[in-house]
Amino acid sequence: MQRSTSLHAVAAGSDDEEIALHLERIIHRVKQSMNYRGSYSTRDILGSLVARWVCSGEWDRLKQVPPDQRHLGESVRRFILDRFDQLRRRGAREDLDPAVLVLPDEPLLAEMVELAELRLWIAARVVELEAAIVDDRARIPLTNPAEVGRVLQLHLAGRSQRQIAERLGISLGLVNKRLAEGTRYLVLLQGIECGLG
Amino acid sequence: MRARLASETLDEALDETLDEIEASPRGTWPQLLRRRFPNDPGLVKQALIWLHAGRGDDLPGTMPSLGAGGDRFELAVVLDSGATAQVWKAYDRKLGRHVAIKVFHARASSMIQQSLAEARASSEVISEHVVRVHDVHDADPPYLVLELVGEHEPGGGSLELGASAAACRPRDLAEAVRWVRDVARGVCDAHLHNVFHRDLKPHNVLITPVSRRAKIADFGLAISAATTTDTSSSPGLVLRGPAGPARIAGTPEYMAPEQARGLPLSLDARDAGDRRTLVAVDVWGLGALAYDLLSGAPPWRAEGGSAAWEIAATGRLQPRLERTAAGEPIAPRLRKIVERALAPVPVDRYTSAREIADELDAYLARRPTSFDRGAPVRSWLWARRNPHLTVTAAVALSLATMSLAAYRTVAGLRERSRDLAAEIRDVERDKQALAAKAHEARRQLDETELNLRTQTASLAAVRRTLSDTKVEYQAIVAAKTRELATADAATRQLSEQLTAARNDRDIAEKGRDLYESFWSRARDEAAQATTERDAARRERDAAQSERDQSVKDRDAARAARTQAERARDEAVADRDREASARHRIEVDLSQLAAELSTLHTSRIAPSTVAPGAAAPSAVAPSGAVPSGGTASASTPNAAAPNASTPNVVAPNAVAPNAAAPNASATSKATASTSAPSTAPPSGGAPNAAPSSGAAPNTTAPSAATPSEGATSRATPATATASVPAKPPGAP
Repeated sequence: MQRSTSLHAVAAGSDDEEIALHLERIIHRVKQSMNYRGSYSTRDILGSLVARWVCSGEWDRLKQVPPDQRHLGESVRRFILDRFDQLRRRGAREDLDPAVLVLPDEPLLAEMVELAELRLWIAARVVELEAAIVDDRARIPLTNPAEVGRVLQLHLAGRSQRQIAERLGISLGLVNKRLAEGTRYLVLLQGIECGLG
Repeated sequence: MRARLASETLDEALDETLDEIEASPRGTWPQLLRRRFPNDPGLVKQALIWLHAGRGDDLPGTMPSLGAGGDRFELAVVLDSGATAQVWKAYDRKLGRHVAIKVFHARASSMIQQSLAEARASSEVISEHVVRVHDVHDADPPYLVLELVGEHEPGGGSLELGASAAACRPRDLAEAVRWVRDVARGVCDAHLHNVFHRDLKPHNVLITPVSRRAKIADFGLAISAATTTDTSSSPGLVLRGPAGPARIAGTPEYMAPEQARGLPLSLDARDAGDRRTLVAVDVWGLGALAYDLLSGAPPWRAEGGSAAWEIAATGRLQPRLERTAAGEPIAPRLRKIVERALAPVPVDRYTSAREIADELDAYLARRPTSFDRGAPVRSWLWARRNPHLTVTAAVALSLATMSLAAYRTVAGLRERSRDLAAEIRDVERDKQALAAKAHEARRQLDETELNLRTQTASLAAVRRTLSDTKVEYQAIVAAKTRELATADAATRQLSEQLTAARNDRDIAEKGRDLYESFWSRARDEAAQATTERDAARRERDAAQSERDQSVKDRDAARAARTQAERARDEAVADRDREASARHRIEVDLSQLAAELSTLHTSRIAPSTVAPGAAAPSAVAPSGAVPSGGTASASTPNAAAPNASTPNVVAPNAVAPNAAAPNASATSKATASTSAPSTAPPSGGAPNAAPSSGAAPNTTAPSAATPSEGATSRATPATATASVPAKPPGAP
């Protein structure tokens, strides 16, 4: 919400450089979300837990309260500890007392929450693209929305471009093009959502 | 159709316009767009976003800036792109060789530290199975200069680039095993330098294009003695437990269970205990790598809403290795090696990567592994390992066997030949004997032939006789045939009769059966009727006995009644007698009264008339007495029907008693005699009292009180006297 407001303000100011800076931020986030492939980064693992926390509906509830009363870190922390408790109950394993769970600071956690939300949003848009559903607000058309959707889906699933090309029976260059096209479309939509478009 | 064509034309025009603008400097984009679409600010904004979106540094295919190193290295193509970095093929102008450059996305200090740590860890390992690090650049942007995994084509052809094991899958099972063996050697070399990879997976294994050898890359998660990468201050998921802070790090699908639960941050690559933990993690990684390369899938898979690392943390068993991705069956020897490397408990795994490499070497060389302890398996493996020797030995053995068999065959044939010669001699002897026998037989045959001719002549005579006999015989046969026909007809008739008789008999038998069943039912019914009759008889006898008893009772009652009547008659007779006596007494009394009155009259008349005034009154009762007495004298017999009202009789009877007290003795006697005789056996009904009993009763109490009380007392006496006259229950 805060981000949208600032972007609105920036858009109203119509300063091209500032718009470009904020666009950079949106673009970076979208690409960062799309590059997530379940890699080794502990931050990505934490990101998967934060995404699960977002899916649990707790974030929707916290959105209704003022930011200074959200206690984001505590909520995420409790959720992760509960999740660990569930895992511990599933089978015999070493006991790791989760008395203290070190989480990143609040701004970074908020950014992770935003990224988790963005990831969910991207997944929903990609599913729409697979069904050849293109948002009407996007006025710059996609050449082959369904194919773009399939390429993005496989990319999000962690497949390399070569694997995607083999899987879909298209050239490596076309995969790269579809990937870029899809990324642009998602960035454009995200910009529209933030009030830039 | 036209609209679609127009739309497509518009799209193409838009694309061309955007391409033109994209080629311009970034700062001029807004002005160019506004100039191109002056009436559509929305489209201008969207196009601006579109152009910026395609410009990102981290988009595949977009060349990053290497800062100061940009002059030395000439970037060519992207080899791989990951979450944190991109790998580019580059040419080192200074050294004149091709290299790979790993450019990190982020410029943060943590990323620089990570790149330095990775460079240090990689550079410590000297192994032909590990990608070497040539240089590291820790400024903006951080990047590593790595050995380019590539080979020239045979014959000095162009440089072919390698690819990760995830991208180029093994051609067959043996190649997959060779790759895992190579990686295990590389991991072993790394362990010797206290470097532990912790992220072994197909993506981090590079395959040379020609020789098809495997090399380990990406030591981003490695722990070495020279680096301390795990710090609790770095962002991420850090848990603090009894053993200190722990962090979950690694690729989820290839994580060891203990790694998924979090490895302590305080792990020291030089400490013996920590080394065991880290070795176990890498051994698991080798097993997971082998599992993936053999089956085409990692041991853990995300399912049911859980990420793969969560499943790994539970230590759930992975699916069993049965076949490769191509459908080739996996040998149990190889499967056991992989399964031991993937044991959920670290102590059950191999203790070092070298063990796995040796086991895989043994498997590839067809030597016994640690699981092959049986002699048959070892023999079979030896045979597989030494095929030439095995074939030679097999041929020699078969030749020897064949020679022995040939020798035995020849010896057998010789012996058979000897036997055959002896048999031939025996046959010759038999032949001569047979010739003699044949000569003798021919002579006997001639004799027999002569005899036959003689016998033939006699036979002709016999035939003639026989034909004559035959004619006679035919006549006889005809006669017999006729007789037989007759007999046959008779027999048929008899048979029909017999059949009819049998039918009759069957019908009769059926009738008899019916008759018997009927009679059996009748007998049963008769027996039942007899039983019922006997019961009725017994009931009748019982009724008869009851009737006899009743007759007896009736007779007894009758006798009692007769006796009672007799008693009553006697009582009546007594009463009559008493009546007659009383009558006489009354007569005497009346006579006495007359005499008395006469006497009294005679006495009073001369003395005074006054007292005589009462005379009439005195006479009156006396005069009444005779009349009353007469009446009462006649009452006993005449008043019987009216005696049901003793009260009426009583006043009449009082007068004489009151007037004649002398008579009380008589009345008492009468009462005493009648009382016992009239005692009823069953009580009496006062209403049934006969009139005959009234008379004695009227006299009995009157002697006591000559007043009205006498009347009232006479009533019960009358009642008691009346009972025996008629018993109520008498028939």
